[in-house]
Amino acid sequence: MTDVPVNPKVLAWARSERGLTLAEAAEKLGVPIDELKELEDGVRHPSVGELRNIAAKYEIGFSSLLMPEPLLETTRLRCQDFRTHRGEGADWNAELLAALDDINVVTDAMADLKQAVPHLFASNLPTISASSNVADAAERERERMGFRISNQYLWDKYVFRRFRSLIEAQGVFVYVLNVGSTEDWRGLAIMDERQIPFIILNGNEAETEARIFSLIHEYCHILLRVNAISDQRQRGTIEGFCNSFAAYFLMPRKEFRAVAREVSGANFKEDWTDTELRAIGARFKVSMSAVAIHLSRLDLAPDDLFRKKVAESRLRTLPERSGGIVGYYDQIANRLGSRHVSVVFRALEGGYIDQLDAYEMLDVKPENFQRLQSEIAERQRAYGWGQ
Amino acid sequence: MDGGNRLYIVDASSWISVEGHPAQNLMLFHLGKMIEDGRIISPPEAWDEVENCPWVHAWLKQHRNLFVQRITDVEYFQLVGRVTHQFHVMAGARRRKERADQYVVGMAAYLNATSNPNRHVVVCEESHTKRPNRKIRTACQAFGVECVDMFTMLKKEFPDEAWPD
Repeated sequence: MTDVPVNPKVLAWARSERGLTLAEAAEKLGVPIDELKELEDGVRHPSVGELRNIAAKYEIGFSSLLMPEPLLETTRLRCQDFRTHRGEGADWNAELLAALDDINVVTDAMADLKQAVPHLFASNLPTISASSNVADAAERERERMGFRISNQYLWDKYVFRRFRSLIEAQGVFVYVLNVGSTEDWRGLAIMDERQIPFIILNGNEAETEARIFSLIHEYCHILLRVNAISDQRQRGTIEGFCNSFAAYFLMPRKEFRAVAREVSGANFKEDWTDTELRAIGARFKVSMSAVAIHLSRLDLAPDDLFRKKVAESRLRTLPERSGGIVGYYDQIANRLGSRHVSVVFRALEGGYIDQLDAYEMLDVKPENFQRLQSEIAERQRAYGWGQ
Repeated sequence: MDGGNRLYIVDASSWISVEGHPAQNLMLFHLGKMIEDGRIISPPEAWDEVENCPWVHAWLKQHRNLFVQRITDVEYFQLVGRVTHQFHVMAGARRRKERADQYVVGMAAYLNATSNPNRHVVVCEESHTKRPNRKIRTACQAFGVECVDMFTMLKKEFPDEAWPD
């Protein structure tokens, strides 16, 4: 078979794009490390078959391996890495890097569309500063959105979808990707020079409450105009600010004190039981941990309540994630969100994009467009927030 | 003009533009004839994209062996690589799914360089109107390839036909 004189640096670049070590890549390709090293050192050129194998196993285009030079790092999606990765510095594994590239494709396509049809991207997001009073900023944002506490209390089903719809109604695109563990990342926020707000959440976050918290945490990054990937372990000013913002947004001070008083009886207590924390959490749609931290933050509990509860919880086993059967269109709608799907369909109907563009942006074949559109319309009817 | 035949390399976007066009039947009639005459080709990557649009795919399937052309020359690969590098956003160089645009442009540029006096023209539609650095048309221009849309190509090839406005 014909050998192709590729630039060996491009082969090494493609491997690093996917976050693979030489050994991992060789294993994926089913070849000895030395053989792969030979190709990357330019000792010999790969055959067409070898190149196609590399493209398939690295999940990168065949044509990308034919480039005369690697792409520059500056052509990547830029975001600040706030992850702590258990305090050892964050890691970019192959799955996460590939997902980031997929996100880049989506954001690029949307930016392209925005240039052609700006009215589809209308949004009036305020800007906040990390030096502002976080509690005031969060509660002001609730008020600006017209998000009433009574709504929050009443929601009992599809709660994440309702919060997502609320954020999407602000003009934010919210995606949920099942990539990596929550140890790797929980959320990603992008609001760069293209001025389109994107939030991407880790769908492997099992608990709805935690996912809601992540959503608001990332929303805060958008309001701060700080592109970020985070695991929400509190470290540094920005992450701490976003965690506090999410807490005050989801548990406004006045209402939180009232509910805490109602749950605990006449006087606030030193010892909060799990049942009490759970009862408060259920009202605000947050986890017990978020409640524990917020109680301490508002001086309604000792500072070490959260630490104590974490120590106790280590003795219990975590509940299994309920793996109900999710329909195909439901899955797509969960992943892309109503805003993304609606914008693509409106652009298609307006003749700004064609079926192929829409297919690329939705990853759904044109013959299934109508069913996806029905699913989204159904969602917007059920828990749409002024979209 | 170069004096040779004008041959066309058709992108998936143009194939799917035929569906629902006011002159759909007339277009298909002439396209079928041009394919039989060997005047229209597409790289396999464009064909793969057409597979996502069932109506056009069903019609084109009968002609597949006539118009889908695979080139395996090293020089062609290198040209496709250059297009990918220079227009990496258009080509989706970091993507998991391969796009066809770079192959369409690369094929036209390669054939123009190697099969004179024939002139290879890219046929593509583009829905997004801005950001020129991402477009096939701009990539064609950079590689010295002429580019038209499907309807314009047919009107030019069959000027006596009663095409709708």
